[in-house]
Amino acid sequence: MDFQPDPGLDAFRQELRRFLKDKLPADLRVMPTFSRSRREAVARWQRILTARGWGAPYWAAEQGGTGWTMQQVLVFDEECVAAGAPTLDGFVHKLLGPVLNQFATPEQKAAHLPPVFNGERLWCQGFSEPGSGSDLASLRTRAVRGVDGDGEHYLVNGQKIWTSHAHESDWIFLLVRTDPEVKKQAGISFLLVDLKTPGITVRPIRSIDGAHHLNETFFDNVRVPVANRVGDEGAGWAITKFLLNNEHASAADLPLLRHYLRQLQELADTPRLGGERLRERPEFALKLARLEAEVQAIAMFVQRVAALETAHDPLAHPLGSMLKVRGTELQQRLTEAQVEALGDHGAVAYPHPDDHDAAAHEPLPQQALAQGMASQMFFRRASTIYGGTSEVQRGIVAKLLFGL
Amino acid sequence: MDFKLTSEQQLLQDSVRRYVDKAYGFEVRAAQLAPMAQAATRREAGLAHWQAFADNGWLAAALPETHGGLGGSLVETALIAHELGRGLLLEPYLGCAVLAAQTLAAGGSAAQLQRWLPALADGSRRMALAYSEPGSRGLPLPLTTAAQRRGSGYVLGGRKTLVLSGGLADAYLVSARVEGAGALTLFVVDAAAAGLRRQALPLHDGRWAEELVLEDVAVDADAVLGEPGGGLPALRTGLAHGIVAQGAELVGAMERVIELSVEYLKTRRQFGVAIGSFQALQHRVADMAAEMEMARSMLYAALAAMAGSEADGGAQRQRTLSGAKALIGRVARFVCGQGIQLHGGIGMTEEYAVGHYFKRAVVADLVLGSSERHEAACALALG
Repeated sequence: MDFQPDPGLDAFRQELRRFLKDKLPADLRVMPTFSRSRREAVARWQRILTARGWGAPYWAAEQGGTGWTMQQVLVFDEECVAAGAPTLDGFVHKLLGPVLNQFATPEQKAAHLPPVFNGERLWCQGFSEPGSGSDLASLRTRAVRGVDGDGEHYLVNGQKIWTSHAHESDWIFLLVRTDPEVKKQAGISFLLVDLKTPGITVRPIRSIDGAHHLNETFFDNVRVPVANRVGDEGAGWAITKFLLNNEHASAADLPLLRHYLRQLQELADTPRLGGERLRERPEFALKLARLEAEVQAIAMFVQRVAALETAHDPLAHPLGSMLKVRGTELQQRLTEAQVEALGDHGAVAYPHPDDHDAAAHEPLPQQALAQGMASQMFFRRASTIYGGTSEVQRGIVAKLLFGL
Repeated sequence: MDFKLTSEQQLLQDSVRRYVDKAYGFEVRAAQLAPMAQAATRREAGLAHWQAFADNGWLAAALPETHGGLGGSLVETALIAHELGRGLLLEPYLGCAVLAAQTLAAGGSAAQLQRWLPALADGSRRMALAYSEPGSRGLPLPLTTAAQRRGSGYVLGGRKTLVLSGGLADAYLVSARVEGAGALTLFVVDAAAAGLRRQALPLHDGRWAEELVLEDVAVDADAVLGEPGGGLPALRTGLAHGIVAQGAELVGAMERVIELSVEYLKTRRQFGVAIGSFQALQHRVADMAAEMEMARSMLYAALAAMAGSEADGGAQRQRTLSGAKALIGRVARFVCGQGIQLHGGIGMTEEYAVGHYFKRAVVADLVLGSSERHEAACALALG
């Protein structure tokens, strides 16, 4: 055990900073966002990274990735957020990509990996259903196998919900029930579906943050070639467990926590009406000090889980669950502190910039900032629900760590 | 950065854990705690354990090799403290082997190091750190104890609180103001010095501290640690080591509380089932574990801050240490308190271990500056 800083990591960080300064175009620099950036921005940023040889920052070298260590990946994510870079398509980079690399046929890899690097194909995830949230394995979207003139296929019928960014995606990876007769986990298969296939309808869901990133997606006699199934029929649940098991270290979304903290620190230094800075108020300073310490603890927690994941230590799972619970709660508290720090203007529901009447209002001071903060705060209520609720995570800890 | 123990570190951890398990079972500890135990008996038992610590090399582990130490780092200190925390040991490892020894090592002249460190390392002598005062509450400043020059030496006057000596100290490192010489000077004061009154005080967790009253305590010029007015950096180093050691001790204590609680959840039956089958209790213990891992992470952050550079004059390091003191302290009170809750009535009894862990957490939060004091210090440093 030693805690000496790694000098190589610092050099890597400097290299990233130079790259971001030189190659991230000004018009792509945005306020970091909790959800995926707009599709044009994602695609352009993807191509810039690919040109540098960093088109797959999270994958092993033999899979066409950078082969970076977990530590390097953490620095990469942190620097990209700090520089205001657009997001990548996280669904394919962090979830589907590792699945394809592990389970896909050579033909499937040839069809789906190159478009990752040129940014031409964005993905969304079709897991949850109206009746299947935490109990995901109870899903009912049905895929029935058949043959027609064009060959073997599945006919898919059902509904998926919370399909983030489906309206800005090209393909969806989908869990379907191929066998209703066996144990619920054993009857699930994993399909890749082109969203342009006839019979698919994507409907928007407006969430309490006022934005549209969620959807519900309907499948009505959608024909999917059997060649688009990843792994064996009935192997979908095992693949899903593999997919979710890749994600422990990023569950707290540390770059985002650091971004929220920076924003809060900036608010603390902005002179208020009357010339007083928030920092000078003892109750605020105390809260800020406490939040800073917690972000610091989470940062080290992330490193620990990353190290366990790298070593394929099974402890990564329950520790990742704890990290998710604490990290997402901290996301909520930081964004709540931001809105509180805005004072009276924290209560105002500003019109969304896309709304027609937005121009009619005279903007209040800090309007752009305040609007973003309130929106983040509302959306962060989702953090403790998605990716396994806090209650599911606590159950995992009790079971895996303590055998309860 | 590497979180895995080296084989040497693993050996160290194993040897302390074995000792704690064998020689310091809960019953042994309880006997030492019993109200009828006489001061002399207590001292005898304490000295026997202390000699064992020395024989095992734990007192020497983080002292320099040039002066009888084994040349280890703060990581070794943390590993030892972690294990001692699991067993709630009563001896003043924190007060003597960490706070005083590391302050001395950081600020002593060559002659002072030569005179003291080998004796501290082999357990033959013990020194305690007397820096806190009623008005400073665990921080180095403000300081009212004063030293006046008299002849070639000094006379000291003032009061020192919560000196973690276990009643075993032969000498004290006392902080005082010397007029015209910097913020703080440290003096080596013999326990038998004329004018020094020592009052032994039991703490809630069964440890013993002392309150010192100094009235015209005369010392020679060579009692000054290092240079007059130059004591603050050494004291801060000693306190930094102390914050890390106590943090590790608390993480060890929390580990044990969670183990005890899980064991209880599996054996205690109500309504015809093990109470561990209740989701409310499962989630409570999961939260305790998550909080403990936050505390462990913060402990590592403090260790990393101590291993890294001090590019900004140490301000960031100081903030991390204060943040760690506060976060780990709060978490320990939460986890140990919840340990009692999971045990129900039995957790309230003297005969059962879990309540003693809570007491240690309560005391630890007041030692070396409370969570609130340290958070306020962080908050001030923000501005």
